[in-house]
Amino acid sequence: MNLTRGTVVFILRKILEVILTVLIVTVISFVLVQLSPVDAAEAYLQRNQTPITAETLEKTRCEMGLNEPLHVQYVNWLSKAVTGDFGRSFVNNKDVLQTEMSAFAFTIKIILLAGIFEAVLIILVGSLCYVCRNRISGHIISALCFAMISIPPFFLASEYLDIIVVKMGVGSVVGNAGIMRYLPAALSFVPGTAAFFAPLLATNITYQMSLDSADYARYRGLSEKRILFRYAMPAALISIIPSFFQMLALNLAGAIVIEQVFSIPGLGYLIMSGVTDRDPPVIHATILLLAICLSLFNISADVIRRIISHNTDLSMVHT
Amino acid sequence: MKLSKKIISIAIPIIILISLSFGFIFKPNDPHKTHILEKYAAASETYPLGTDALGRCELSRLLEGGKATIGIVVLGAAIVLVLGTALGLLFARTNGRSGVLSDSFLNAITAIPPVAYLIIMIGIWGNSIPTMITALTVSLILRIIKLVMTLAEEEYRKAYARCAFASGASHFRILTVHILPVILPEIVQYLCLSCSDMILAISGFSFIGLNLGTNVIDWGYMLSEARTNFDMRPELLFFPILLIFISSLCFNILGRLIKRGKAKC
Repeated sequence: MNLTRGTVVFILRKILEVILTVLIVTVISFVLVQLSPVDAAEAYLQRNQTPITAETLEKTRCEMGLNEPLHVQYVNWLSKAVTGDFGRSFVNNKDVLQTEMSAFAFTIKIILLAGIFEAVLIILVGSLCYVCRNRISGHIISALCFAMISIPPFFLASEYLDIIVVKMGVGSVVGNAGIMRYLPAALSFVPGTAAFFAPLLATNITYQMSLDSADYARYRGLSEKRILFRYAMPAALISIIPSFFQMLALNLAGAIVIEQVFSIPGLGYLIMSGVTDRDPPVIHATILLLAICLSLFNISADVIRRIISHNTDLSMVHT
Repeated sequence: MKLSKKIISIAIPIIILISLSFGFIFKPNDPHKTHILEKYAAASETYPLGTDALGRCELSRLLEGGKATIGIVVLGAAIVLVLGTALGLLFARTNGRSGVLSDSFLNAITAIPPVAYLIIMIGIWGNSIPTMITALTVSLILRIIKLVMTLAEEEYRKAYARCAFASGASHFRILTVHILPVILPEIVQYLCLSCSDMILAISGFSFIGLNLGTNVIDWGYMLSEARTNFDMRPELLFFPILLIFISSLCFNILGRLIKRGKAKC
């Protein structure tokens, strides 16, 4: 695809948007930490059992760089963050970037695993919805899907632990190695997301099958099955990909709660421990990472949407 | 006949939601009062749904929990509806020019899902009812402003708005009298679906220990309490999750009905 002027402008705008998003969100996180009722320096002294006097407090604040005005703190942090230096944690003095990266590895594995299962289930249930669309079974399936959206993932996760692991003794609560460490956490997202997208896919397939292009394919003597799998299904799938990416971003946000249930040391664990320990370097870095991931998911949705709208004419000819 | 059927199908979820959020008025017992001797009591006349691990009346706690959970969501959504719609209409560019910079700015802010803003704010500030309402309002209002702007700009280009303009209607009148009723269903629909998500999110936070405050009862918190005493009375787990499910489902149904209603017009 040769780059037209419009595409270049589009790419530039999207890059600008990612940067803007990250800037806005990190500013929010600085302002919120500043407005927070608990002072980070005070918490630090309490943790180290140093008597809190005006003098020690002032000294710690100086060491932490908290005595500067907020905008100076922010600019200092930002100029270091750009070079990959997020400082050291106030709690364990570890390099924040390293901590973030190991936590991120956990979270992204959960999200990607969930994404794969979701995609498979969406295709299966979506086709089922389409095949049964005019039967009672089809109505039951779509009603079940609709109800499934309202079941919180954290409940599925805790029920898995309580019933399957504790009562029935299958698997274990902690200490799983390899894929079993992430699989239950990933699976708890799957029913809700799949239930949301499957009826959507079925509607899209129905629409694709009612198009003129599908009729022409019928005149060419192609079987319904072939039209469905060769033409209608791919087109219907492509049309839900952008929203699917946005859903992955939502899963990322939701993972924070699920990680707590399974005690997985991912980004959710980091943000919670950062908050309870009043550890601003960890909080800011985690929020930065979250913002980057979320906006990248969102932007990829926009990019895919644009590519699709540019290729629609092509696909019509192809069909 | 058709209209009354539609009214009934919209009224049922609304009635359920109202009774869940105002049910605390009819609570039979004090939801905070503990009766150590009567813990895990079965359903009786004094305790219609029995008692929990500390001998507190389960039904009263469920009703009180509805006040917190649904109350927060509905209050937040109401603020967002009024404020977000007003700001969206105010910012809507009706002169046909498109601002690349302001568009990018709005896109950048809304690139993060509302739930993530909620997590960031609750994470840093800790959870409480005022924080939750603030976080909910702030996280949703940006989306609503963007939605209202997009819809209003689209409507403004349509013939009826141009006709109204030609017949001398003021800018303010076109936006409020002509455009607002057209775009309102879509805004309410978006808010209903968001309310459903938010109920799940709020319950999730309480469930993992970020409860709304020391003396506030909400369903997520009840769920986590029931989970620790899972072996004694498993049905204690069932009641709060059922109510979370029902209220979330009601908002989803409302959202879907409003969308359909619009399609018919």
